Amino acid sequence: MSPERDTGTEAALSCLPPPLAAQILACAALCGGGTEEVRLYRGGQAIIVSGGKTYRVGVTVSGEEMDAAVRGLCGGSLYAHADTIREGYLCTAQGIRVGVCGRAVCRDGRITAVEEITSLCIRVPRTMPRAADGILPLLFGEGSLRSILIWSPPGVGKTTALRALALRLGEKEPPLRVAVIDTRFELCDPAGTSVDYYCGYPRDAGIAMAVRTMSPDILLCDEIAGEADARAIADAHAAGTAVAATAHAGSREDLLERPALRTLWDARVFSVLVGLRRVEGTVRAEPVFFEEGAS
Amino acid sequence: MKLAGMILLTVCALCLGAYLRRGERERVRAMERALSLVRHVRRKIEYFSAPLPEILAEWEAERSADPDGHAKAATVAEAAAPLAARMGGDGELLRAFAAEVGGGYREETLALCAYTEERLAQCFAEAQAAYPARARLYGALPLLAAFAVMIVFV
Repeated sequence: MSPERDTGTEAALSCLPPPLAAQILACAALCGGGTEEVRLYRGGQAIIVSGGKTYRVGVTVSGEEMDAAVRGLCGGSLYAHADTIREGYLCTAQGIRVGVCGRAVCRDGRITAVEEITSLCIRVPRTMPRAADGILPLLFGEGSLRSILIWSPPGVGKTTALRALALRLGEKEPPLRVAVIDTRFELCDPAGTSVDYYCGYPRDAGIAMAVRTMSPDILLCDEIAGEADARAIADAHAAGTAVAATAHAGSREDLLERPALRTLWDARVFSVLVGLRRVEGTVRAEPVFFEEGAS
Repeated sequence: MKLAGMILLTVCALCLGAYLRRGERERVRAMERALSLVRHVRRKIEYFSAPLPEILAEWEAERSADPDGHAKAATVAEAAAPLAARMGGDGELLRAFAAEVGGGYREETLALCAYTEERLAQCFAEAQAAYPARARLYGALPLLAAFAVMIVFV
C-alpha cells in the first residue's frame, strides 16, 4: 500500500528546487506525514517538525540550493519581498509564510536589507475548521460576543485556531460582520467566505481602518505585541467591536507581564483569556485554560 | 539556355536580397521589443514593486494582439529567448539581463534594468539608423554579385 500523499507539504515545497523538494518530501513521509514546518540551513541538515516532534533529516542544503530556494520562494522577485524579509519573513504567491534568517545590513540602527540568507522556516499551512471548536463557545458569552485573547507558546496552533475561527464566524447564521487583520498573509483563506480580510495591513492601521469603514461585529488579529496594537484594540473595543486576538506566551503570568497586554486586561478590553495546548501526537490545539475577566 | 540561366541568377539574387533584408528588419524589431520588455519590467518594479510573474503576465497580455506573438512565457528568460535569438550578437545583453533580474533587491534590480535599457537603446538606435543603408546594401549586393557572375560566365 502506498503512503498517503501529503498535498499540503507538497504545495508548500513546490517553490524549492525540485531535487531538494523531492528529498525533503521523502523524509517528511518517513516522519509520519502531517508536516508542520520544514527548516532549511545553509550548509546544514534540514529539520522537519511533524506531529509536534522535531526530526533532523539527512538532507544537507548547499549554498546554491539555498539561493535557489530563496529565489523560488520569492517567485524570482527578491526585490518584491524586501520589506517583509527585513522583518524576518516572506510570503509566497501561494500564501505560505516562510521565516527568514540571515546577515542583516543596518544603517542608522535600522535593517535596510538581509544578505546571504542562512536559514528558512517554511510553515505548512493547514485549514482545520474544527480547530476553533473549543474557542467558539468562549466567544459567545450569554449570547453576545466577547473579546478574547488566545495565548500559547510558538508553534502550538494559535494561527490555525484563528484561521478556523474566521471561517466558522464567516459561515455563522444569522451572518456576523467579521474583519480579519492579516498583517503577515497567514490568515487569508480562498475566496468564497463572507469575511473582510485586510491582507498585509499593519495591525494598528488595519484595525482602525476596519472599525472606521467596515463596522465589524468582531475583529480577528494575530500576534499582538506592542503599544500601538494595544491602543488600536482598545479603540476598537471602545467603538463596540469585539476582538479575538492571539499573543505568544508560555503561561498566563508571562502573558500579563507584557505591559501592552496587561493594560488591555486591566482595562477589561478582553473578557476571556484562553490558553492553548497541543493535543499529543496531532497538529490540533485545544483550550486548556480560560479565565473570565471581571465584568 | 543562357537567358534562362541569367533569369535564374537574377531571381535567386532578388530572393537572397529579400531574405537578408527581412532578417535585418526582424533584428531591429526584436531589439525594439526587447527594449520595450526591459522598460516595462523597470517601470513596474520602480512604481509598483510588482513581482516578475505578474509583470510578465501583463507584458504577455499586451502582446496578445501582436500577430507574431509567441507562446506565453512564465519567466523573463523564456520571454527573452526568442527575442535574443533574433538579435544576433546583441542578444547576449538580453540573456544576461534575463538571468540576473529578480535575484537582487530593488536598487540592484533597478540599476540592472537601467544599464540594460541604456545599452539596448543604444544598440537599437544604431541598428535603426543603419537599417536603410543595410537594406539597400542587402538588396543590391546579391544582384551585383549575380551580374558579376553573368559577365564572367555568360
